[in-house]
Amino acid sequence: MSERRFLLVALLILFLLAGAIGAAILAQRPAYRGVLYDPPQPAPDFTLLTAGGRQVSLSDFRGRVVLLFFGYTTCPDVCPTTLAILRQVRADLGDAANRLQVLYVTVDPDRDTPDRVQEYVSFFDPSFIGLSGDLSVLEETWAAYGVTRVIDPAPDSAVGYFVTHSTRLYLIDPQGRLFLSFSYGTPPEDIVHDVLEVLK
Amino acid sequence: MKKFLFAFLALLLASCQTATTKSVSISAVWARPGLAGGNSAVYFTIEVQGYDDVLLAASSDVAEAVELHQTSMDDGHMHMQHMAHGIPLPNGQIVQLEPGGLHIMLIGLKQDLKVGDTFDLTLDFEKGEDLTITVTVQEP
Repeated sequence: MSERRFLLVALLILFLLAGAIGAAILAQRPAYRGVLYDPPQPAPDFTLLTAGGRQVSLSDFRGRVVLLFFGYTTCPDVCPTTLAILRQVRADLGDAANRLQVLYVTVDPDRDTPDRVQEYVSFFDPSFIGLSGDLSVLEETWAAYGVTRVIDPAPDSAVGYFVTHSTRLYLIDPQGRLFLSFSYGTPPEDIVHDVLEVLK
Repeated sequence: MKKFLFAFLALLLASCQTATTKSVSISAVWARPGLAGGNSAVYFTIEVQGYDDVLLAASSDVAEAVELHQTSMDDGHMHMQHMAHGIPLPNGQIVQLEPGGLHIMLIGLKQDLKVGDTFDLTLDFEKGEDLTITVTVQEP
């Protein structure tokens, strides 16, 4: 065996070893499909309003997994896609669904009254809770979760204006910690997988 | 007679050809469910052959206003754009109206749109004739 050949074989063995050790380390921790907050932080609490002006706080749902999403009811495309995915998640969870709460916080309080946002999310699943409230309280909530939201005037559209907003979905664990986030378009089976993992 | 038959066949062939070279095909037509007073969106696949066209506008009795919109994602931010100059339909190119992209927005629904409902939507083209299609409401 030439020296060069020997070196190549040695390198190959080294690579394989490194790969095996890496895989062993990864196998130690549960593989989440979403992006893990490491270490998980206490999720910023908020108190907002749902239908009939009823107050709802994030901390009301300790002991359950909360999936938190920000959107607006005039949005006809991305927001309903995510709500349809969340409905699918709830259906696929079976018995575990009663340990899940979906919260939908508006980024458009001018149009989305507490009643309107609740009516909208109920259309997808009656268990979902839609939230609105005073702009100042909402602004604090958006900021706490890193949600950006910009009013985008559309004078030649009957809509009047759009709201450009970030589209991440947040998972809060039963201990009230901000645990995972998912990008837009994450398939329902990946979210179901992570919810079940967190509930273990 | 033989010559006449040949000419006839040639003519027939030519007419067939114009029929296939100038056409618009639309498939996979659907709309999201929606509540009266709310909004919905219509999606389909469209292809024009033999010419370039532009989908200028659409109209329907089920909504107060119907507009052509495009959603785009920019670094995780959802951004909406009103396609005020229409949707270009280049010759032979399949154009897809789909969630997260181009769509026809139904603004201010006059009735609930429930799964299985159907309604008419009229498409207004720059060159082609107006076309009325039937839209079925279904889950995404």
